[in-house]
Amino acid sequence: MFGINRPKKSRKIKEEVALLNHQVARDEVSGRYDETVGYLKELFRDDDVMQFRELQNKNAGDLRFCLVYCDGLVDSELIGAQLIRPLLELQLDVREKITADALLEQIIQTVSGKKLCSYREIVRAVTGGDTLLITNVLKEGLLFSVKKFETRSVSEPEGEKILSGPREGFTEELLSNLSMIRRKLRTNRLKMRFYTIGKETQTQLGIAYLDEIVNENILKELYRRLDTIDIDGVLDTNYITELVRDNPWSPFRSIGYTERPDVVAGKLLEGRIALFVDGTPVVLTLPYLFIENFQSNEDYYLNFYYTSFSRFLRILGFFLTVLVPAVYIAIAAYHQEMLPAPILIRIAIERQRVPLPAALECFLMLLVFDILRETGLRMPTNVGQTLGIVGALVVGQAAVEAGLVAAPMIIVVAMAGITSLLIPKMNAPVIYIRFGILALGASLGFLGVTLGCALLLAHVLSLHSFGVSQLASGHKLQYQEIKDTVIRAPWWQMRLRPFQLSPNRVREKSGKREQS
Amino acid sequence: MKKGIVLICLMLCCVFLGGCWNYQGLDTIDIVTGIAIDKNPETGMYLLTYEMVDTAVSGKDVPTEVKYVESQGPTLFGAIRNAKRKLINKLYGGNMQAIIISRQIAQEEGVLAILEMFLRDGEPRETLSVAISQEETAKSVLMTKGLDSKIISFEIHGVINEDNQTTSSTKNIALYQAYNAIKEAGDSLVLPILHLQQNNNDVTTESNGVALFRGDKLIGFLSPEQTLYYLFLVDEIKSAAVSLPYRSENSEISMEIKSNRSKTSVRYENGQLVVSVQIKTEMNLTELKGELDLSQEQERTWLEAHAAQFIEESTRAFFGSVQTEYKTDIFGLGRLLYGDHPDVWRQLEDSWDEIFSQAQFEVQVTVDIVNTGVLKNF
Repeated sequence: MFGINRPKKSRKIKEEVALLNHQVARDEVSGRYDETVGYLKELFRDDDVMQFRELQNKNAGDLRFCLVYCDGLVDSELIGAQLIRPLLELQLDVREKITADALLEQIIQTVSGKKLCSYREIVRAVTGGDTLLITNVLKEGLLFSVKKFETRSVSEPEGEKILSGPREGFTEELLSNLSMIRRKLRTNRLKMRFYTIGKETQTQLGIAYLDEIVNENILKELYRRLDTIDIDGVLDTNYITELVRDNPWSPFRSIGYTERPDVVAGKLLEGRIALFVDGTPVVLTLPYLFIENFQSNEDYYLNFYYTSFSRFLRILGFFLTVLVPAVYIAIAAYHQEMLPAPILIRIAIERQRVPLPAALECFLMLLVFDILRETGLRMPTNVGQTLGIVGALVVGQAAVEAGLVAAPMIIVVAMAGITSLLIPKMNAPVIYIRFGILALGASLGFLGVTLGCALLLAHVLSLHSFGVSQLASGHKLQYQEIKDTVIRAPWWQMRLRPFQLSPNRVREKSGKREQS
Repeated sequence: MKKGIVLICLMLCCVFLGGCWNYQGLDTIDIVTGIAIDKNPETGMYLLTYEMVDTAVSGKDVPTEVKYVESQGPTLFGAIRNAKRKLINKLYGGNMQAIIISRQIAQEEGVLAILEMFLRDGEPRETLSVAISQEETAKSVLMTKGLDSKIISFEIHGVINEDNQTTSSTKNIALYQAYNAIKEAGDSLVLPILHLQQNNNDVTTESNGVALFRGDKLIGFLSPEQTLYYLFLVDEIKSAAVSLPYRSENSEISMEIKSNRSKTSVRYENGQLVVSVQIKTEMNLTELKGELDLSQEQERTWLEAHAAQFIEESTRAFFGSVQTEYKTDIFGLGRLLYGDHPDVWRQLEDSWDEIFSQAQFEVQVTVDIVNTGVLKNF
């Protein structure tokens, strides 16, 4: 029974929707008041939030208005004062005098207003918080922006805390996000283009870049890729990332993201493009170089000696987190002679009491670590801390004392875990690479570890971001190219932008400091 | 899709079944730290004693303990194989640091076969120390209690190494060096020797100079004092103490060598081998019974000349005693000649020991006294 009826029903609904969509797409506002209002009511049927306020002018009884707006998105006081009152109290002598322009220019008191003829645009505007005015004397609908809705206030992003430097973070509102960038880059070169994406969500994107510094080809490529997107909804920037990135199966990042306006401004100045999405504080920056995994905005706000060291630590951290378990297993199971005798003896004594083979033990412990990390992640802070302590106690101490896990293994796993926190931007690839190389190391010893590293290097070298190779440098190695990589050179030394990003490379002409 | 799953399963098999040719967990090996090689006089079989880490007893609270395992066999390798029959785990020799050979084997059979056996095997490090036991058996040396470490082999390795560096009373010879010394043209082998010594209420192992070899056979021992002059001639002195008589009877001064450079050269002239040694050494005065004012240049020069003369005489006397007593080129002088004049060496090779014992010895010592003025007049 259901089997027979259901397709019919769904087909019927489909047809209706298609018809409606078709009408919205095609239909121009007809100019006949009752028909227009009726049609809009039909479009928004079963939507109690949508308000249709019908008015009549006091002086001329046959002058009728209808305000259409979405409750909650508009400022009702402003609508009353700037729209309803002028319209009601309008003194009219000759009806023919009323034109759309006259209404906009002389009568309505809102800040912005414009004419709209297409239902499609009307629907988009009204759902976005605009107020629509339809009268029986005008052909077009008039749109006014009297938006007012709740947004989060600007605060420091939880995920990107820093010690020193600007503390503001983006919010969920596109325009306020763009305004934060505008405040930092007060130049006419800063371009911000809107782009709409998502069939149902109609999400607005903002694409920001600095003219003459940006690489036009990369910009064109971005637009080309955005044009190919066909998705019903975009709720966060990651949707866009996965839809437009290069090497779609790679776990490594190919587009950067941040919640900090200062980071975005910095990236724009290096010739990158920023992509804002309405409704999320996360902003994409592209192209993304591999070294950005190890960079932090704080690097530029603190002393360069200190930050060069942190850079080095982060790069070291990547290798440690990926290699430590694999190397440990390879040594403990294949290459005992690699260890100095006293260390080997200590480890052997610890291992003597443990039932599982070292490789299996390592797999399990890494898994336990990841479970603990994952549980702690989404918990409220205090519960997360408790979990951390319980995990450390249970897994660490108890397991060692019960003789289930060797103490060196705890050190190895803790080492791998802690060092992975040095490079939060690579958390996804690191997990897979670590397990992969561990598997190779446990089955082939150092040969496997080397093989794993070679495969990893080959993969990373093949990564691209919008046509730019993420790791490989096309040039021979020069000081200018490594000034912002393994080290962070002082600002008066970093005179050029990264060559991959911008055709206009000079940041500082002389680079010399003023001699006093 | 199916192919992918099969591929993943196969790869997982690689990981967990571990088709690896020698995955050996640390808990499945017995770590051998040292071996003593004896011969059982009754059966004529090799008697090997292994020192191993006793992982079952050692733990967090107990320091590393060792256990001793003994095995016999007609050959060395056979004996090692026989040891496995007593143990669950495989013997693992990759961290072995000392091989102690009994003097009987070294005298009667030579050490070459033993060295070659350990070099051929993949596991032992080529840098492990080879030593000769001066006691009745090598086993007795291995089974003493160490002063610093429970593992006597590590202690032996350390003692020999450190003595070579600081007291110049023995010479550390790594496995590969011992083999090279036998095989290289004109070179000759010496090995450190160990004996037992009373220490408080215990008996402990002590380094006691070097053993001398002709080919690979033991021919004699040098005392620690003699070893110093041996090391002078082969330029192996890093630091040492020298005691020399002072002006009057019963009065001695002792001096420390801070650095030393010896240059030994040989030349063959008119059927006569001439060995000439130039020693340049920096010393400082450490102990003095009597009057000496080093702030006076005169006194300083006198002491320098005195020390130089003492070293010169001692070296000359030592060289002479080797010539008459052993009639063997223990210094590897033939190697120097071979390096400069291989053709001359080839002619003299067969009668080299004869030529050596007739050799003329020239020595020139320069002493430089440093670090004076630490104390007043000193």
